Amino acid sequence: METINNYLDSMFANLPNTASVLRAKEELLQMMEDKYTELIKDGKSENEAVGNVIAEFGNLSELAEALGVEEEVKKEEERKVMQEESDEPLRVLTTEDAKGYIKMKAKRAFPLALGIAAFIASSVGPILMDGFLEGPLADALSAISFFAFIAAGILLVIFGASDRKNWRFVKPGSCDLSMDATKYVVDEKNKMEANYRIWLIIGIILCATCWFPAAIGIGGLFNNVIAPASLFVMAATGVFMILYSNTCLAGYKNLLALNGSESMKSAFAEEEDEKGGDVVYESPVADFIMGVYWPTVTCFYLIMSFITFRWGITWLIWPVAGILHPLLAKVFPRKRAE
Amino acid sequence: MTEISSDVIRGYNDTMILFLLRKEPSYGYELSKMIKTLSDGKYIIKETTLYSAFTRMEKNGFVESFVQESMDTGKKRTYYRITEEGRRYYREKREEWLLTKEVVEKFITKENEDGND
Repeated sequence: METINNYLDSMFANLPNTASVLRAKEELLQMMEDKYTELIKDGKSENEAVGNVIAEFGNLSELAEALGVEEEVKKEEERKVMQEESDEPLRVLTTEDAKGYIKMKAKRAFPLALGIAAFIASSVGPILMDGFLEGPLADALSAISFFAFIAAGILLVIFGASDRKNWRFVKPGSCDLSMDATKYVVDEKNKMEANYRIWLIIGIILCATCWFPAAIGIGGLFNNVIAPASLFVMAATGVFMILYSNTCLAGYKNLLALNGSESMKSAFAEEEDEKGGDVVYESPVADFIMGVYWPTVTCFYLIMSFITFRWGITWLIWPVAGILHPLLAKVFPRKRAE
Repeated sequence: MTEISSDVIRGYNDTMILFLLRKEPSYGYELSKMIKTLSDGKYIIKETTLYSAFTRMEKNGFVESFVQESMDTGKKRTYYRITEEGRRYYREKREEWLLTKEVVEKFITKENEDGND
């Protein structure tokens, strides 16, 4: 019976989610169920019964007129023909593929977020050295720790920003998510989303309150060392949490964005606006800007910092860039997966 | 073995369903089973054909649908019942078929009567 259900699901996957389509699906399932039950009762094997039911199902184009979905069925058929003709057929991602992609995203999110956090935290070393040590050794150590953080940051960002080559094909128009995989991704997303949201909220709170220790002003060592150091540590931790959770969530959103927005499959994927991540934008310029956003911000941050050498201020570029990114993503019109 | 041509029979799917519904209301699978039995297994109606016939005839007012629990299993099913309009349509189609059959028959010969095959 599971096979029949899946068969019907896949037949209807790209039809619009209207009342008449839902009703048809329900009715057809009823008929198929009845037939299946009777075949089993007559002593047919599970395989025989399923094969029989599917063979006698008929085809979608026959339903098109009755359901008022001629357009969609025609499109679906054209798509099949196009797939057969083109060199690169539309790849259908299985549950395993989806699992791999989500895993890869999370694996990449970690160095990216950590690298940017390292830039922000690079001032912590010098502040602590200056506060607790004296003499040329302190200067040397603070310079070493500072540049070590920057170097680590650059390496981590470069490593994290690159999507692994063999996942490049995951974009609307060149692949599609199977029904099973869609269910898997939505379930996983629902399971994980609350966790990531908590990370996000904690991250925002940390960023918003990082100036707090500095503002209290107890005096002495606290004012000169602990307060500024904690400001950078809190900001770095906050930015790390925000970026990490956002990038991980983008993995799920990218996958769900592969399905057309109107189809039955995407009915699983709740609000449409939620489907963001590294989507394809309508204008190539926007697509380019969003593609090189984080590397550009990193370069900008490094150039500004080295020119002015005011590392205590330039880190503010990160929270500003973090706020700007979702705003830009909302402003640029997105390409809809057909 | 010769198979029935779906193009030819298409125009008479509705007639066959209406014929069965004239006796009593019925539901999808039961109708497809009756069609199979009555045709000695020579015509098996596809699920999609049956469903599109239902929606088309419901739109034209030939049948009405209602949900009822089945007597044996207690499962809820959509049943279809014929309307007055449907009965009238059935009689029309019957006349049409008798005429069609009469005309086409005149051009069909039994194998042994024809020497040119």
